[in-house]
Amino acid sequence: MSDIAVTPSRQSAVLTYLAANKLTAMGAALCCLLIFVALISPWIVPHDPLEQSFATANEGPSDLHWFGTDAFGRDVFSRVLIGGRISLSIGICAPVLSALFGVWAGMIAGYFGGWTDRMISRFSDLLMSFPSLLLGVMIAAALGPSFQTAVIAIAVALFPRFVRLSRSATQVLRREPFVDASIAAGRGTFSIMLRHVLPNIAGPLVVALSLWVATAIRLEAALSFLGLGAQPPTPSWGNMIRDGMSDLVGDPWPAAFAGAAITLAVLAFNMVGDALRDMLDPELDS
Amino acid sequence: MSLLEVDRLQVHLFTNRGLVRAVDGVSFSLEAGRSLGIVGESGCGKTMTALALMRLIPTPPAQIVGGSIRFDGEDVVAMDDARLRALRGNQIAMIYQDPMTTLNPVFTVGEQIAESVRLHRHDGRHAAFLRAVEMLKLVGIPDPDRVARAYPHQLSGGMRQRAVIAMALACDPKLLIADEPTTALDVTIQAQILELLRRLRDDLGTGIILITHDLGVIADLVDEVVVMYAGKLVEHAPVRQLFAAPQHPYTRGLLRSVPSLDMREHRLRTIDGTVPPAHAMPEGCRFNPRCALVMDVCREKEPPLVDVGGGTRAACWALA
Repeated sequence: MSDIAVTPSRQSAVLTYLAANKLTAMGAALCCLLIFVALISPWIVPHDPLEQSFATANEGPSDLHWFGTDAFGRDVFSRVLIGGRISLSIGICAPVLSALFGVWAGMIAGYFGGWTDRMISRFSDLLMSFPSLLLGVMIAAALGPSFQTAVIAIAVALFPRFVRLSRSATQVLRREPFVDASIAAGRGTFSIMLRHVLPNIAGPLVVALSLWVATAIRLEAALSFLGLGAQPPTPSWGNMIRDGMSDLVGDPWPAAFAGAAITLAVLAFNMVGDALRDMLDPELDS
Repeated sequence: MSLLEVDRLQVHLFTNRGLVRAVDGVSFSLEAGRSLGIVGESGCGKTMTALALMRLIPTPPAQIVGGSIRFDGEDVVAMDDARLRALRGNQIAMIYQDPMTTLNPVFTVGEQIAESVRLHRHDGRHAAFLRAVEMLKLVGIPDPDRVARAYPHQLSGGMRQRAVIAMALACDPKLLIADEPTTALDVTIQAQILELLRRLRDDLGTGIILITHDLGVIADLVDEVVVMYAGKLVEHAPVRQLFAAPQHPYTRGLLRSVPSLDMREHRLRTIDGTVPPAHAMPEGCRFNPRCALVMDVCREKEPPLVDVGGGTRAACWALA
């Protein structure tokens, strides 16, 4: 039939959207830039982020130290760059790990219903009943502070959100005739979830994932601030603020720049998340 | 041996309001390459019967509690899950009422047909896609190459139903179950789809079970008709016989309520009363509260299904 509209490829549709939405484009560019800088930071830092020098401690921004130095004379700019590696990798790994388990648990609960649903839902409600920071602190404290612990703690804190999201989306899809039709076509349950359920709930999940990366970055900062994330001397944005807190009046620069970095990263991922939501929401389609 | 033999099939629904005998002792058989229509009002058990043939009834609440279904000599009721999956879509295929929603919106039509081919045959991706294009061509879609790359929302209802039929037939099933395949379509498209089903039956030798409440559809396509009322088979007849000499009072009522062009009356004729609620079926013949010929025995005992000649079986005390 000649009246079938030619679908533009996904890539070009995304580019068109970005061209029309400057703010979104900025957010996306910022995310890419942050990740890129974090990746190459060991090769571009002007100073060794761990090198201490009491002669140059607590200095303000200068030509030599763009963001000043901290109480141990370490270059704050270098530490912010390197700290981004920890903060962003936890911020991205934790939601992805959480999604990996949470989405499946939610799909199984939503698809089968009954007892399976009740068990999975009650478990995730149990986790949901703790504030995520408290849950993170409990887990990090129980397992001992480290990078892996922070990832696990944040992943567990986000787990019930993924369960809820994919469960409710799956419940709606379960009643779609194409799911019945594919059972009638001889497809097994696992295969139906993979082929029919997952692709149809992918939209909202991607949106949630990008928004919860921002949440995870905040959680990581909070855990590190409480001394439960990456351990000194390894810098992360959270523990830089913690270190800076001891002399916030005399030398505010480490805390200020680390805080700015967190704000920037959270803002960037939120912008991308909001934009994805608008893009995938058919009701806002113009 | 028949392709399909259904013997005294019983499907019960275990609901909060009590037991519902959704399908109660229904028997019929179908030879390969023949077609059978199942007609009746909403809730008469025709869809339950069709779903039971592939063990697709939702369990719980529904369950096959008695009788047997033999497909190609094999007992469907006793099959394990793996055997069932191999049967579904491969030897028995099903098309549903609403073509708008039986296709997954996120994949192209060609991908979906190819996927169902690959489910049952060890074809490569490319071979399966070619098969999909070939099937689309078979069901009369112009420019099948292009349609195979289209998403469901880009096609009209008639085109989608054709695509659904193409998908159902992609693995050369011996039996196609069509549950109200034309109800959701425009009248002009309905005729085209029926014509397509008739052609496919003749060309491919696929057995067809057509479920509908539309007697016009039945007359066009099937060899035999099963009439169901409230979970019971009330009449089973060759299609010409059914229209020429309907035996059961319910069947006569159904036929009388089809409006015709040379109709003298101004009002549409209906069958008095309504189907009794599923959990409060009357004693004896389930049709007795609505039947004009009702006798004392009808309120006491269920009528047996008897051969009344002309290839017709009917369950009515007036005929027994």
